[in-house]
Amino acid sequence: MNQKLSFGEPFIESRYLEAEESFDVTNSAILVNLDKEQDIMINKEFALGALKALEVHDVTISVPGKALLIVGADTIQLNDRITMKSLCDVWKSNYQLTGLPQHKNSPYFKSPKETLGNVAVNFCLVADPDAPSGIHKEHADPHVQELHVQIVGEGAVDLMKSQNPDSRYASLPLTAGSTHMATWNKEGEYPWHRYRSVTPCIFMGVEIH
Amino acid sequence: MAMKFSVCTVDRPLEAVSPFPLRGTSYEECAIVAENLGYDGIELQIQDPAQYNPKELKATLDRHNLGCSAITTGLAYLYEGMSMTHPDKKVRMATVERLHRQLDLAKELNSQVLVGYLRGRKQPGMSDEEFEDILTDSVARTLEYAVEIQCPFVMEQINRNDGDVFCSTERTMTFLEKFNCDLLLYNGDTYHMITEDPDVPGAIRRSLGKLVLFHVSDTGRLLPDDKHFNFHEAAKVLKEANYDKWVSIEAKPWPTSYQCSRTGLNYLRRVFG
Repeated sequence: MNQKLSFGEPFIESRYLEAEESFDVTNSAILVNLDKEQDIMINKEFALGALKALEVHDVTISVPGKALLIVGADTIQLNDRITMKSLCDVWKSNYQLTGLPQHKNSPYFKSPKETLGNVAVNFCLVADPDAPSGIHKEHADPHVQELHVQIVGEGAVDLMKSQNPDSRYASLPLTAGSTHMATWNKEGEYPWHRYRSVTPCIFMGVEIH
Repeated sequence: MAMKFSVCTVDRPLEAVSPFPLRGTSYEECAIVAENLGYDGIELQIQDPAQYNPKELKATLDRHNLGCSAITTGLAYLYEGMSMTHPDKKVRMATVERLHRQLDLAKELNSQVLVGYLRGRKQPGMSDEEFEDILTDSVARTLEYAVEIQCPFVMEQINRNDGDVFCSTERTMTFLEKFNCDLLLYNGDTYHMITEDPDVPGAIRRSLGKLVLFHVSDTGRLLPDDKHFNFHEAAKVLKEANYDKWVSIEAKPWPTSYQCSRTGLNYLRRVFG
């Protein structure tokens, strides 16, 4: 299965792959393995582990499970005024989505969400540098596995002792094309955590239900 | 008056081979980006007008200071098998009826309906004359309604790889002129001209009396790169004629929809502006 998705249009192209024995990736792309167990083979010699991501360039991949290909992220210039305005105008701000007073002037802007079976994904623009999201440990679905894939720029997932913004005890740095290790334990519980932009950036939120 | 610059848009996830640069999950999204980039208008791919609220669509365009260069109809051919020359008369009549509704929508948007692929392909064993006769009948039925509501109806040349009989500018213009109707107009397209019109400046001059939409697209339906086709020469003819109607980018969204739309407008401004 090989399906073009539209949730990042017109800025970012994305394609969902499932059980594709051989798929050619031309030019550059970010490859995300959405499968919880099976590796993706790249050029028959490198195995991309479960729930991992990386940048690829002119490769053939074998996807036994599920994967996302993100194309064109390297063309996005977030320091360009028209591009930034277009992203902010097309994607919905946190305040537009929630109406909560604390989200007024939030620099977080989200693309529509795409649901692929038990996986939901969307892009999120963080228009300012060093802009943290809310600190949380619970999710609407208590069994969700949450990942952040960095698409443009730099960010981090911070692990916190409490909801106090000064209680950060670890950071999982994210550069374009990377994701972080699992932050949930065997019981599916999370520590207090947040996403934080380092530069203006775009990440993809991945929820596996 | 200067030429008006537009970009082909689509509000559904089509594969990249479809030459519609600007894509979104809605025409509102396409309009936001087109306005930010500085386009004068957008071209809408409408499979079935019943799926849209004409007044809302018009309000969207107005809100973003955009015109509509055309309502384009090919998706009904690709996804429903509609065709103005279908061997089954019921399908032809349904296609004409669909075109009437497309004209209603175009009228609401102060725009025009464009037919390319929807005219259909010649059936095996069918002569050029038979194909023309069937198309003439469908065009006449469509044109009757276009005249009634006073909405322009535009037909495109299509090269021999993708269309039949009316491939060159000359052949298409001759066909259009026989209806002797000011509302039946012409869409020139560099992608088709490259294959069909050995003298492109001459072909453009030939079409000027009916030309209301000019598609800019290079070999392979890519953005112009000035290596395959002399777009400067085409632009010179349009400028010399004081052409002040639509020029539209129709290209594959490479490397992304946004970048293609942006680069395309920069090219139009540099060469056609």
